[in-house]
Amino acid sequence: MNDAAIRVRGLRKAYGNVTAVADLDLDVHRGETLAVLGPNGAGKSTTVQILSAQLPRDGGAVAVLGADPAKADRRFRSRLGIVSQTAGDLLELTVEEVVRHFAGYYPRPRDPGEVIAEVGLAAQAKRKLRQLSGGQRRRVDVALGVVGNPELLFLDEPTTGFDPEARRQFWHLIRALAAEGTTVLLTTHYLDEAEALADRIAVIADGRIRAAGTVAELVDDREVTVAWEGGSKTTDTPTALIAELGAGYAGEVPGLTVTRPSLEDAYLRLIGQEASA
Amino acid sequence: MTITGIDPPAVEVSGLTRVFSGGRGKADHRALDAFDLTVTPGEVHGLLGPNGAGKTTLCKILSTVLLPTSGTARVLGLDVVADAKRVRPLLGIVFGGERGLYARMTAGQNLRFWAALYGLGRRAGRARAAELLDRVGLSARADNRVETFSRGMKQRLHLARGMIGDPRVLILDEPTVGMDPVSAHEFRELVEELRAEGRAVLLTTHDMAEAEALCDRVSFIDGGRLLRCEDPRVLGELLSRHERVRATGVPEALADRIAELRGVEAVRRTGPGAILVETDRDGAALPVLRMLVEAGTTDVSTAPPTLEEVYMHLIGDRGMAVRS
Ligand SMILES: Nc1ncnc2c1ncn2[C@@H]1O[C@H](COP(=O)(O)OP(=O)(O)OP(=O)(O)O)[C@@H](O)[C@H]1O
Ligand SMILES: Nc1ncnc2c1ncn2[C@@H]1O[C@H](COP(=O)(O)OP(=O)(O)OP(=O)(O)O)[C@@H](O)[C@H]1O
Ligand SMILES: [Mg+2]
Ligand SMILES: [Mg+2]
Repeated sequence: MNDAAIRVRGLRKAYGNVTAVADLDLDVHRGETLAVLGPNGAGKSTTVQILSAQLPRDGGAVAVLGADPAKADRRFRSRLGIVSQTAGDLLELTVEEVVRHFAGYYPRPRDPGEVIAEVGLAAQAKRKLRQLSGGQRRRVDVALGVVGNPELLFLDEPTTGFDPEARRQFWHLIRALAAEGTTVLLTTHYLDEAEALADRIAVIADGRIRAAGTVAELVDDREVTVAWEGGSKTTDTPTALIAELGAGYAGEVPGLTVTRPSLEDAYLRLIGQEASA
Repeated sequence: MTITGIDPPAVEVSGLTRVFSGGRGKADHRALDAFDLTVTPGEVHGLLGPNGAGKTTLCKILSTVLLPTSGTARVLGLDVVADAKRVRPLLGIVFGGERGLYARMTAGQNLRFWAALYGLGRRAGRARAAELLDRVGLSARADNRVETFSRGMKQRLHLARGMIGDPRVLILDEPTVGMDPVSAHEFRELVEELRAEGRAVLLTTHDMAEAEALCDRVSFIDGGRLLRCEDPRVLGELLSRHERVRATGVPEALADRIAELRGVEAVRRTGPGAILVETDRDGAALPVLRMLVEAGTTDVSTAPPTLEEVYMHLIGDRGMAVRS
């Protein structure tokens, strides 16, 4: 089982009487990008924290890069990169100081200046974190996650607060890391982000995996929905319907769309909330 | 309400400027630069722009927690500096993130505390807190401490807190960050209700689909300056007046054949297998659609330019770099 970066069986974690993770199974292959989706409170951050050696578990078997994160030592930690959901608070340091400082924890870090440029903060490198906007601070978190050149990168909602361009640039960055062989475990609420980055997707609700697979495996795409201003129809023969509509409207059909079921449809089905529209 | 009998705008900002000093010989930073904005009662107004554009700075000044360097800002006719005490009770404020909630108190205690600050009596405060917890889907966790909440649960509580004082004007700074897709959609319904009740909403977001769905007008801000203020439905015309067709899963050869069709102005590659077909006359989109669907492409739409495209067009293609 050398190709497993992460292998989880029967993971459990409770906080008092709140069960955060209940009997969770998960595999992440080496070099793979896996996106974890799920409602608020589903147990995503708890799972990420346990796997990245930040939180002890109550039960279950866990192997991360072949080791048990509960027994993590410094060497093990230096193989991981982590972008947590809650940001650190080194507010009086400058961007450059913080990134250099973190690079020092790793045996073969990437060039801090390069990483700062990659997250688009070159012009802010000498500013204190306190003086940054919300999205700029989140970019620092991402820089700290990747500066150690990790084998395995944990990203817990990394792009919250990113502007649209920054989000696209971030996708490029992660794709480049994945192409170099980095394994990535990502949580996100942006389904387009999951689709853009992930080789496979796991949907989690109430602390359990509801389904895992490629987008094609999760989405049932036999039926196509044709919609236009004034109506919509689900059909497996969209061409005929469009021809019919075109004839009816004599040319332009206003607001015509042809869509296969989306990842959003699959997500809502899996967490037990069918789309009402 | 005023002497002339005309209701003042919910928000009126004029020539607003805020300069942060750089400290220790570093250059000053102009976070807002002669910014103008008007939001009327019953309007949902989007404030859109890149990281560091000045959105939060503006929201903070309107919320009376940050002073402007120059210029004026009024809420329902009251100056946010001179009349700060009278402005505060009119406002509901929601900032994204972790701050502003008492971690050691339960969700219910937090809301009842804020209700009291807004002058509600004990019974009214309880009722209001319960109603709002229900509205944001947290009833079952009302008696749990906030420190035990997941990120998205905290964000929902923020939203409830913002509404506790029955505010006429809501300042929502990235209110849906961290919310799951279902609650983000419920948030949209909530904003529709607020609008229907005649409240004014100033909303910053990086989610262009959210802004497009909710906003009556949007203001684009970059480098502290107003770039443009417009109805999002009008903005699309900046880019194109004719139908466009968007499709994914399109092989190269098919894209080439589409480019040959009459009335097709351009076929742009927008991603792996994704294309955007621009037409230059009415009626040209339908043959494009037919060709795509006949070839088995099942993810196709005709659509005016999205707000995200307009954003990219206006803000320009500067990559991820943040303006200094
Ligand atoms: N420190 C804690 N103490 C008590 N309960 C906690 C704690 N941290 C998390 N929980 C609870 O565990 C459950 C899972 O939380 P978790 O943060 O893992 O969810 P999540 O899937 O990351 O949600 P989100 O999408 O909102 O980030 C929730 O019910 C949460 O309230
Ligand atoms: N206390 C401060 N001292 C110095 N500069 C500051 C301070 N607060 C903000 N700035 C700067 O002012 C500019 C505007 O910041 P602001 O927080 O208003 O941006 P924003 O539009 O809200 O961005 P984001 O989308 O990232 O939230 C940024 O360049 C930021 O670095
Ligand atoms: Mg989380
Ligand atoms: Mg901001």
